[in-house]
Amino acid sequence: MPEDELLELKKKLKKLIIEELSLEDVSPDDIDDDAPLFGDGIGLDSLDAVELVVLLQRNFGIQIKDLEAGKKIFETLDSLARYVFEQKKS
Amino acid sequence: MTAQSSSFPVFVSGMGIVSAAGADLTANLKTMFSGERTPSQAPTLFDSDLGKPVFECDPNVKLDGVFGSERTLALAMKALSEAMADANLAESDLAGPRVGVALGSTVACMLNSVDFYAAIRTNGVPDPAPLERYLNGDISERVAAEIGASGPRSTIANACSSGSNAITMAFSWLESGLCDIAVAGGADELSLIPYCGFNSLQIMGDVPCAPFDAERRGLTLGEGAGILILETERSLKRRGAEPKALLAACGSASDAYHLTGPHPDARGLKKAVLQALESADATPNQVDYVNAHGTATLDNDRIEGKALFDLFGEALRYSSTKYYTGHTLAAAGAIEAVVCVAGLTEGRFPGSPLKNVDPEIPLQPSSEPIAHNGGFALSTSMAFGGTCVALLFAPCESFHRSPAVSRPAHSAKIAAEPEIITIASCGVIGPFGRGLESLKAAIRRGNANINNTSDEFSVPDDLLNGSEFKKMRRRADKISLMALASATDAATAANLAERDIRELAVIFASSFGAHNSTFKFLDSLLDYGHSAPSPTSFSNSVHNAPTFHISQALGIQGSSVTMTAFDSPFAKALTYAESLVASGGAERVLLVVGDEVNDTMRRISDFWTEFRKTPSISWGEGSVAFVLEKAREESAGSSDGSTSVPDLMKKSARFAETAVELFGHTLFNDALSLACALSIRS
Repeated sequence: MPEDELLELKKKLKKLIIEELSLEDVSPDDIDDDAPLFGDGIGLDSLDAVELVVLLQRNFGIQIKDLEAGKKIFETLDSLARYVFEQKKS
Repeated sequence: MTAQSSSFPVFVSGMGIVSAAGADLTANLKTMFSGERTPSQAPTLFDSDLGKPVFECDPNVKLDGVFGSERTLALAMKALSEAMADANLAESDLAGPRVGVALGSTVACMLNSVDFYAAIRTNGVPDPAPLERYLNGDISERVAAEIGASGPRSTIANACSSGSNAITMAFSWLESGLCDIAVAGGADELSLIPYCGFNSLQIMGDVPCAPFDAERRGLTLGEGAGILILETERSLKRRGAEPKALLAACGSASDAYHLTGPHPDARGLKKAVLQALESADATPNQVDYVNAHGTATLDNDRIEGKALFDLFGEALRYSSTKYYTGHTLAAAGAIEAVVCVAGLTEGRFPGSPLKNVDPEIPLQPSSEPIAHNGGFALSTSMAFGGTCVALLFAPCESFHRSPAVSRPAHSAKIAAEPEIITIASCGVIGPFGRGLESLKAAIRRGNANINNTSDEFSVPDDLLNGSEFKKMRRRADKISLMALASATDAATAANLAERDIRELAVIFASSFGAHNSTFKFLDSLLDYGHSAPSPTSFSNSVHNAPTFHISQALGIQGSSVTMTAFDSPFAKALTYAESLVASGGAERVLLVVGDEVNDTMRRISDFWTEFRKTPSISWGEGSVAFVLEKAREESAGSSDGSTSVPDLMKKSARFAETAVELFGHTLFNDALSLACALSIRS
């Protein structure tokens, strides 16, 4: 996997998440790639989860039909970036 | 079994219903007892490529008549005519000041026409029809005008519990003697906005809803109306009518937890149900049937199913009739109340089919019809914002004429008893600043603006930047932040103990609601299409979003309701607060009114005044909150220091012009004038 592309994608996702979820006090550096996005970490909740679904659709044309399956994808920024990366490739 | 919740019992004397399950009660019951249903694979009332099923009313049902394109009103009137016939009411019986109208609606309360907004946002010239419909759309006023009712009127915009909130409100009016008969219920038409909004929230199923089923895939939207005629015993006697059932009690509580998600332990729902049971002197095993909220979303059904088991144990029989009607939003609680009452008179309640048992839900709904064994029927509703309502109905036979009942009903209207409630405290925010001291200074100065820079009546953003708002700024829009500011100040000034704050009843009233969020949602719909509008804006666009933010931030778990009116929302909220306190429904009420203004609204206002060739309006914004409490005997009749509301209202009338100078044009000038009077006295 070309690590550079993945790194760029992560940067882009962090920026989008902060903007679209109105995380006023969070900077991209605050989002640890491997920390949980929900609950602890930056503390996203169920409404943020559906904002993420919409964010992926608007920006990457990716549709997540099943929120339960989405839970794995949204676990960390790293898992999210890898999923988007795979989807873009296929 | 006895039901002695109230000293002045409230009866159901008639009911009407229209939904996808049928055009009247008989047709609805036939559908529900057959276990069959008729969803449409996609909406026919509007175009959308989402391809998700809905429950639409039979297009052959004649709704049009005089109401033209006002579908919500037409649905309400259809159910009302049936309810009137059922109650043996002549038109003349509903005329006059002793008849109230409390109706819930969501769609008709919002300026949510996509075409209209698309034209406005590009500075085009829209067709004024949707705006005209919106401005004339206050459903309780329209229905009251149709039947000549001139008693208390209120439109409830509390999202998915609106219909139940309306019945609860009418119950208080009747209990407190404010009227003899009330038309209560809710109506909503199927509309593109909730269709795309719920889809975006990922809780709308791609197959018709399967409440409490392990394979449930989300809610299915429906439309319709449910109406109850509620009546006092005295009124029934006077016209020689027989009641169908007793509305034994209403319970209401707030989760104070999350804007869209239910509390994981169903805190609000359990509290509302227990409150209803307690006030009716009933035990859980006396409840024969629960018509559950049962939307068929993953969270609702898991949490509600668990709560019902916790409350009632494994003997309970329950169902969700949303299986047949879909989720009809503001009509839902009212339609389901009608199903409960009809079950009491028919001797059986409809079941709701279930294919796959969900191991996470400890008690399954009944697929087969449920027999009535002489006990109570309960309807539960839960809304965005965490409002939970429980309506408890009893068969008439259970009603023993206790000494309390044979007392004469309150003959005097509560409005004639000025000492019912007093004002304990007031909080205010406006273009001049925040707090009564700032208001007093502005009145002395004679100038609204704190920084003197703009002639617009906007509340400066830096007033809403404080650390107290930090947690909610990300979600709450301006109307919620302003409402929270005034509510916090009123609650603080009232110097209440933690318990008293927790048990406050919250009433929020506005004219235009959270239109910033509505416009944001419409923007996202226009920009990204039907499949990806903003779920957060949709959730925040409900009129009760400020009510939620207040309850959550202050930790208030008492009842909550959101009202909307173009015609004196404050006076209407005050009427409800009085009846709530007078009937023992709450000890203290946090009453908040407010509205927000933005450039889009100013543009729409200018378009309208130009179209109507009337002078343009300088709209203002802000919020004012009062803690109201039961008057102590000794305060009645005192002169200068009087905090009795009618006294103060009279005295504050002289501030009406001052309020316009300080706040701009608002539709809650009466509340602002009152704040002015209180600030001068402080």
